[in-house]
Parts: sequence; structure tokens; C-alpha cells
Amino acid sequence: MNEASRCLAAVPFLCLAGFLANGLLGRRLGRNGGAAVGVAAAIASFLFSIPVAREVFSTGEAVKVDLFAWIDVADLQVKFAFLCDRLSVIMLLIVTGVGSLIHLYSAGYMAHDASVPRYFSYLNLFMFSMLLLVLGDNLLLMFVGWEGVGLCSYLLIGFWFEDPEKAYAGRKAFIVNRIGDFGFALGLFAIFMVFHSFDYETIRANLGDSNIRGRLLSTFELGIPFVDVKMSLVCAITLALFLGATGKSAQIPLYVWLPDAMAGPTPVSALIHAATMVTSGIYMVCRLSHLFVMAPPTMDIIAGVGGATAVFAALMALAQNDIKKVLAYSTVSQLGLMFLALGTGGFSAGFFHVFTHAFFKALLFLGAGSVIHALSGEQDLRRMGGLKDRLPATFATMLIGTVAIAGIPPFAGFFSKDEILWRAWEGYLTGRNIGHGLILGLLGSFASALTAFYMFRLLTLAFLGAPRGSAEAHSHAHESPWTMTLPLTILAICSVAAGFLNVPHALHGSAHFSAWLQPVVAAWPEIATAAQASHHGAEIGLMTVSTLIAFGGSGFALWIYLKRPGLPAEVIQKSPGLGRVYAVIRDKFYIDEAYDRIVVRPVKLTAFTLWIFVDVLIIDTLINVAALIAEVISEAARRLQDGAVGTYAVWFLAGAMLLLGYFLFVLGAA
Amino acid sequence: MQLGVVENLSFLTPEILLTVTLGAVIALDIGGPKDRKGLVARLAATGLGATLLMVILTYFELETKQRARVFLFADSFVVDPFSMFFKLVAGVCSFMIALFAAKVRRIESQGEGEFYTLLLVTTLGIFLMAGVTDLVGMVVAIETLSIPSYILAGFYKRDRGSSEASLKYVLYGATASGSMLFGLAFLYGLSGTTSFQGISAAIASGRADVLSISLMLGLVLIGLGFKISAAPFHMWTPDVYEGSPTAVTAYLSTASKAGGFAILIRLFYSILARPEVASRPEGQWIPIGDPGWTTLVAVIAVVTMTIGNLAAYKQTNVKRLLAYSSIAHAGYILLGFVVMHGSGLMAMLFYIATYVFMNLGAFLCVIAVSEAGGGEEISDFRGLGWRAPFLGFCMAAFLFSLTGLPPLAGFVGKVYLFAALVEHGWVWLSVVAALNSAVSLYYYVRVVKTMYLEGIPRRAGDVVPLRIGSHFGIMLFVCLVPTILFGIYWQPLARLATWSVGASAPVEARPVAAHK
Repeated sequence: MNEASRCLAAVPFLCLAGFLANGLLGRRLGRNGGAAVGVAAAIASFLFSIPVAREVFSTGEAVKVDLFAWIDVADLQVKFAFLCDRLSVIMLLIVTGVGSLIHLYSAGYMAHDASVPRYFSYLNLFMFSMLLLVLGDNLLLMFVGWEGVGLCSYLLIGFWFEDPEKAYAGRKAFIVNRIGDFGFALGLFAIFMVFHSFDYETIRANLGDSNIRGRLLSTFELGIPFVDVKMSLVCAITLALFLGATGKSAQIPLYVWLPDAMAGPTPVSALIHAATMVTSGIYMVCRLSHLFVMAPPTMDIIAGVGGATAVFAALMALAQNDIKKVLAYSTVSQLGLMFLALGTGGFSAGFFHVFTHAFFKALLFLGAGSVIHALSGEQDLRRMGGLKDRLPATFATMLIGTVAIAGIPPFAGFFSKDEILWRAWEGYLTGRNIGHGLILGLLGSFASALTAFYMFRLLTLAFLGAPRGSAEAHSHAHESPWTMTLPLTILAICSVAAGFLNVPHALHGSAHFSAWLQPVVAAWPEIATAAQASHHGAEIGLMTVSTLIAFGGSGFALWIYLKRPGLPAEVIQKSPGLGRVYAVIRDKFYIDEAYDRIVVRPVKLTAFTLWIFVDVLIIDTLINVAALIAEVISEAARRLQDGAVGTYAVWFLAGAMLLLGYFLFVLGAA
Repeated sequence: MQLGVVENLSFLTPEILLTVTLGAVIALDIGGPKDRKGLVARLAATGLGATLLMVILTYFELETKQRARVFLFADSFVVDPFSMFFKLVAGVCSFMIALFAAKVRRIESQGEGEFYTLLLVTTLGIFLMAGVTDLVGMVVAIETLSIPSYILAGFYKRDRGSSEASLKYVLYGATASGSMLFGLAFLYGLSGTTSFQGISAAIASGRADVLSISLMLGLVLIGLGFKISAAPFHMWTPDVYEGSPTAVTAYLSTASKAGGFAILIRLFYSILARPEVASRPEGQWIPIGDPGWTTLVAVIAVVTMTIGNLAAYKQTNVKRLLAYSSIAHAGYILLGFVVMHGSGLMAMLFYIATYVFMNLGAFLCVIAVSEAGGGEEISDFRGLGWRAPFLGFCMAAFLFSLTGLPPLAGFVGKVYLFAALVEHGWVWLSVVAALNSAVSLYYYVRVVKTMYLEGIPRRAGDVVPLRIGSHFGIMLFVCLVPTILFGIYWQPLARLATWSVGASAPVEARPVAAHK
């Protein structure tokens, strides 16, 4: 074991140590001690990941560390081993790097909270689970991390559990995620059934095996009555896995938990619900990309779901007034764009967006947190405004974040989004698959336009114009402490610079990032990958249009909310039709209500019926009768034991006679 | 493997060290300085610790020689991984008990020299039981364990309960030993040899009648059933466990039982069964003669666990409750015995090893509470989870593990047992056992409920802390770690158990003529 793998082994366990220290000794550590331990654990894990990253970047080879044989039962052999290859090294850096910044920020943000150690213990536990998820060298370890981050997400959303609404949001997140996890687990079982292994390397190596390939491509009847649907095994597996991804990464139909998850402390939203956990679905698809590309129908579904989510969530973001809700829908929308890229085979494009998005979305959330902190908890955009001079550092950094996410060159979001849009439009522009490309392209570009608009709306409403909140609140607003502004600054720098890692060939860049990931993700469809090289003109044209769209959306938002703040209300008043549309968007398309009617209430009703009839009437009665019988026998057994040696002797004799009698008469007779 | 006397003796280092410690303890007790508070305890504990170390070293020595076994004393004693496993378990128990007892004030005032002397003798007895392969040696080993145990049970001389426990134990033990000796005498008479292998060979050659031999083994089973408290020879258990000093109870319910199981397995699997493939004791076993005796053992197991669990239901005293619980656990462990497959034996070994920690831990909690001024009734445990958080947590973990809930060691042990049953066609037996586990949840949880849900302090200031002291705290932790660890990562223990069965179990087909 060399130095890099020793460091790799230490990285997750440093966070675990932080969790244990805060969890077990939190009361003794106190507020400052707890925060110090939590932050130190995160930063230490970042420092330990540097040698690992250096090794991976310099050699291009994976760093591995084999800790112990975890499960060894029959043909189920699972190692507890970490693997840091070209793909996971990026996640490793995001999780520990952005994670450390957010830990630091939290130390300032949560300083006045009553239970700081509890907060940091959850946050460290989250880091540990997330690191298991990305570093595990097999799917089972990923699943442990997957469940672990879900648990931490639940704990942190409901961190202020005294408020029933926040506790409810935590439960909602947990339950919705269970549905996805169910799919993920099914996928895992099926993978084990086919490959007899959970190892990524074994799975990838065995994909070439003709036997296994045949098995994966064999079709089976879905068994739905009256409908004759056939599906290949690999399609079923990947769809099940994708269901897991839609849960964790908040895609249609399971996105509903993420906006509510904003009930948690803002740094949590930045870390878990923007930068890291919600991208684990994308990580998982990239990790198994070679499996996914064997199922083109699944890929189309992923692209479609991603594109639809991107537009749908962006529309909802337009009409939100809670600063965090806007960002939440924005996250859902951006995740949708990433899936859109994955579904068209742009694994490196989608993953590059994961990378840049981690910076600017964490930055935006932390900036929003800084605003909320300054206004003592105010989250409503309608009562903000004019904070530019009060919070200069926050404004400057948030401006960078907004420009970056809007896709204005040369900020990070431009490069990553451009790559995705190229992927979406590619079918149309190269004439390879016109209908497919047109739909996906339009979805992607429309979502980008909306992104530029709602982000500048947020920025304008919060920082520009005249203050609309109470004068007192406005005058009390003050810039946050250094622990909060320092992470903002670092993230802002990254939001500017990160894009240059992947300047496309069309702009005479060298597309470092795509080249880096190329050995670990699948190239699919092969034509599309080749097409990019020969269609530089089309690509530059698309870029120009996208840039114009971004500027247009941003400018439009600035114009409306600076010059004509009354315009939206006016339009709605004048045209009742548009008013109704607005109401539908503002009320989030009534999806929550629909789910409530279609899913929640029937389930509750069924549960109630089962409770009354099956549980109380049948099971309880059975159990009570059984308990009664047990009690009667128990009393008899206790009586038997009357303490008199004579009785014992009688029983001894009886026992001995029965025993010998058995040997003599039963065995002897045979 | 034939070795010279000296090399042979090197495999007996644990036993020799134990005997030396025994002598030193007696010498110190009689001739040592008057003001020697705790010195004897320390000496005994050190000796036991060193013995444990030697057991482990011998274990390694055997492992490096793969499947090695060493016969000693005209083949009446064997040192093999199977016996080393039990020595390890018993050694750990004795070591822990010696450490517990060091802080029990009443033992100190009654004369700790005697206590440790007796404890060391019983340990030696169990070590002998683990390795003996001869009828005469077996009697000696069992009595070496039994007679000091009778005295230990009555160690609190002025305590009526303790004296009663001792007396009942002697009476019951004498009866059981009597029937066992009767059976052993006939075994010798029928086969003309005292060696396990010899009897087996006598059956094989037709010199002895299988049925008669089985019948006499039935008599022996009575004596061993008493040792492991299997029904219907368990009646002494609750009274003795309740009355004895708790440290002794903990010892009787763990180490002493382990010894009983060791000899039970070796005796029956040597004489009434043989491995299908002689070199693979970890595989299938073929019963010799009528396989009906496995059904009998299955019935005994069922009756034992059912009586234990049902009678535990209504107990109000924690020690008595744990006594019934230990009866029930003897039933569970016996399940592995009926499978006639190495996996069943492995499950027994695994279960015994995990059971030792959780059961010792539970009794340790009782000792810690009563040493801190609490009582032994369940009602004395009210609010303990709040008054002594660490102790409460440990006790809850031990009890849940005894129930067999994941992710604790007891769960994994039950999985191995039940899996062995199901794999070899004993489905009904595993169903009964699973139902029994469900029943046991009730009375274990009742204790946990009393600790946590009764006597909840209204305000933080209302808690009257119960301080158990660092000594007991550390010991609790030592029991807690394996109870949790073997529930999460049990591979090493499972491998050890498998290897101990596979490399040795009872007796290989050895040329009988060699020792005639």
C-alpha cells in the first residue's frame, strides 16, 4: 500500500471520526468545540484527498485500497474497498473541497443555534456516507452510502424538528426517496443475478462476455395483463436503476421532495441538495455507463425525463417568491439538463455540469444564506431589495454565480451548458436523428432561457432596486463574518475558472475534461462522438445562439424587474387567461395536490383499512390469544418449579425414563 | 502425530500454566502477607490472562501445522483446534469473571483466596473436558468442574439463598453424575475399552451392539443434559442461578455450559456418527446405527427452549429471568447438534462464542447495578437507562442480542443455526426455534422497557445518577464490542469456528490397534 492509497483509506474515516466525536461527546465539546471538530474533520479529509488526487491526475490510473473482506457468504463476495479512478476523483474533490467550504460557512451560519454539535455530527456523517458512495469499489458499498446520505438528508432537513412543517419536509424527502431506493435495490439484485458480483471492474469486464451479453439482451414479457410488452433484461435493470436516480437526483416523477427540503439549514441545502447528494444519481449512471448504453430505450427515457424536468422545474422557478425555493427548482432544472446530456450519451458533458454546478449552485445557496442571515431569517424576495450596498461581498459573489448559471461566457456555466446543448441538438444539426434532436434541443434551450430569466429576477429582486422590506430590517442588515464570506469568494473564483477545464475543440480548446473521462465512460452513440469533430461550424453557431438566449433572458429579467416592476401584475390583470397560467405555475402545477389525491390518500386509506381490519381485528387478536396461551403455560411452568427438591427428583426420574424408553422402545423396535 | 514427551507437553502449556497459577494462588492465600487486599485477585487474573495468551499461541501453532492434532496420555487426551476453541471461550470467561469478581465486595470479605482457587480449578476442569477422548478422563474432567462449582454456588456462606443453591446443585448434580457413571460403566462393559474411538471401533467390528451402546449413551446424555441444563434436567438451574453469587452464576451459564457442549459433541459424534468423507468433518456426517437419536435431541432442544422461554415470561427477578433465558439458549445451541453436518457444529461453536459475550455482559450489568447499591429485581431497574446511560445502553444491547435482533452478534449466530437446519431438512425445527425467539423478545424487552420507559425523569435535574465506576464500565465495554462487532463483521469468528470444526472435530478414523 503506497502513500496515496493510505490517504484514500483515511479520507472517509476522518469524517466518521468527526461524526463520532460530535455525536458521542457533543455535550462536552460545546458549541465552539463541536464546530471546530466538525470543520477540522472536513478539512482534514480534503487535505488527505490531495495526495490521492495528485496520484490519479499524474498517472491517470486508479488508486485502490482494499480494507477487508466485508461479506463472504456462498457466492456473494463483497470487499470493503475504495476505488478512486478518473471519475470518482472528481467527486472526491467536490465532496471534500466544497464540503469543507460549506463546513466552514456553517460554523458562522449556525453559530447562534442551540445544537451545533448535533448539526456537525450529521454533516460529518453525511460526508462519510457520500464518500462511501463515490469511493466504494462496488455497488453494494455505493448502496450503503446511498442510504446513508438519504438518512443524513432526512436528519438535516428536519434539523429543526420542533417545527412540524420542517419535520414533515424531512419525512417527505425520506419517503419519496424510498420509492427510488426500491428501484435501485431491484437493479442491484438483477445485476447480481447476471454478474454474480457487485464490483464495477468485474461488471465492466464481464460485459464483453458473450454469454452475459446474450443474457442481458434477452427479452422477457413484462406480464402486464392485456398488453404485450417485451423488454430486454438490461433495459429493465437500467430503468430500475434510473428510478433510483430520479429519487436521489430529484427528477420527474420523484422531484417533489427537493423544494420542500429547503426547510433545512441553508448550508445543508448548498451541500446536500445542490452540490453533492443530488448529483449521485448522475454519478451512478456515469459509473455504469457501459451498462446503460446497452439499453437505448432507457437512454431515450433518461434524455426525455431530463429535458422535461429541466423545463418544468424552470417554469416553476419563475413564479416562486421564496429565495431558496427558486434555487431549489433551479437545481431540479439543472439536474434535468445533466440527465438530458446523459441520455444522449454525453456522459462527460453531464458530469462536467455536475462539476461546475457544484461551485455556482453552492455559491448561490450560500449567498442566499448570507442574505437570509443578514435579514434575520427573511426568505421572501418580495420583502428584500436594495441589499447591494449593505452586503457588497455577497452581492458581488452572487452576481458571479448568477452569470455563471445563466450561461454567459466565459463563466463556468457557459462551457458546461454549451456541451450539453450541443449533445441535445446534435441529432438535429447533423441530420442524424432530426425529430429526436429537435425535441431535446428545444427543451434544453428553452430551459436555458428560463434559467437566465429567473436567476436575474432573483438577483434583481434581492439586491437591486429600492428596499421593500421594513426599514428596520434593512438597516440592521450587515455583511456576514469571514467564515461565511471566505467560502463565497473561493466558490466565486471557481465559478469563473472551472469552465476553462473543458474548452471545446470548436473554440480551439483542448476539452481536457472530456478527454480525461473518456477512458472510464462509454462512448455512445459512436457517430455522435465522431460528429462533434466534423461539425465545428454548427457547434459555434449553436453557441452563439445560446449566448444570445442567455443575454436575452437576463436582459429581459433586468428590464422588467428594474424598470417595470408592476408589469407582471398588470399583464395578469389584463389577460385572465395568462393570469390563470400564472396561477397554475405559481401553485407548482398542483403536482403536490395531485400526488396527494392519487397516491397519498389512497395509500392512507388502504393503510387505515388494513390497520382496522387486518391489524387490530385479526393480527392483534391472534397475538393476544397467543400471548394468553403463553401466559397460561408460563404460569404452569413456573408452578412446576416449586423449589422442592423432591419435585425435581420426580421430574428427573420421569425425564430419564422417557429418554431411555425412547431408546429402548422406539429405536429398539425399529 | 507422534512426538516425544517434552514436545507433547508443550501443547499443554495452557493447562500447566493454569495449574501453576493455582498453586501460586493457594500459596499466596495461605502464606502471603496479611494485608494483601486484592493481591490474590490480581495474581489469578494475571495467570488467567497468561493462560489465555498461551491458548491463542497454541491455536496458532496448530494452525501453522494445518489439521494438526496431538494425542497425549495414551491417547486419552487430544489437543486440536476444536478443543482449543472451547479453551479459548472458557479462558475468556474465566478471565472476565476473575476481573469482575475483583471488585465485588462480598467476595472479598468472604475470602477471595478460596474463590479464585475454586475458579481456577473449574477452569482446569473445562480445559480437560474440551480435550478428553476417554471415558475415565471424562469423569475426572467433569468432576473437576462440578465439585468446585458446588462450593462456588454456596460461596456466600451466611446467605440462605446461596446455601440453598449449593445444596440443590449438589443433590441434583450427584443424581445426574450417578446416572452418567452408570452409563459409562456399561459402555466399558459393552465395548471393552474406555476410549471413544475404541467404542466406535467396537461397534464397527460388530463386537458391541449399537442399540445397547446408544441406550447407555442415553444415560450419559442425562448427566451432560444436567451440565448444559437441557430439559427435563434443567430444574436446578433457576434456583441455583438465582441463589449463587452473580459472578458464579455468570460463570455457570457460560464457561461451564461451553464445557458441557464440548464433551457432548465429541462423545456423540465420535461414537454414533462418522464423517461421510473421513478427512472432511466440516461436511456431511453419517449416523451409525439408528439415526433416531438426533430426533430425540431435537425434541429435547425444542422442549428446553420452550420451557426456558415460557417460564422466563413471568419472572420478576433479573437473575432468575436470565437463568431461564440461559436454559432457552442451551436449546438453541442444541439445534446445531441434530443437523449431522459440519455446518451445524460450526453454528454451535459460533453461537457459543457470541453467547458467552452477551450473556456475561448481561450478568455483568446485574453485578454492576447491585454493587452500585441497586437490586436484582426487574423493578430495581426502573429508569436505569437515564440514571446510568452507558450501563442501560449496554444492557439493552446484550438483551437485544440475546433475542437475536440485528445488527448484533446473537442475530448472526441464529442465522447460522437456522440456516444449517433449513439446509438439511429440519425446517419444522427452525420454525419452532424462530417462534421461540419471538416469544423471548417479550421478556427481554420488558427489562429494556423498565430501564427506559419507566421512571423517566421529568426534568434533567431529577436524574439520580447511578455510578458504576470505571472498572465495571470498561468490562462492560469489553463485552459490548464483540456483541456489536460480530453482528456487523463476523467473518473472522465464522472462519475460526469453521476451521475448528473442519480441522479436528471429534475423532479421525485412527487405527484402533495403535493403542491396544
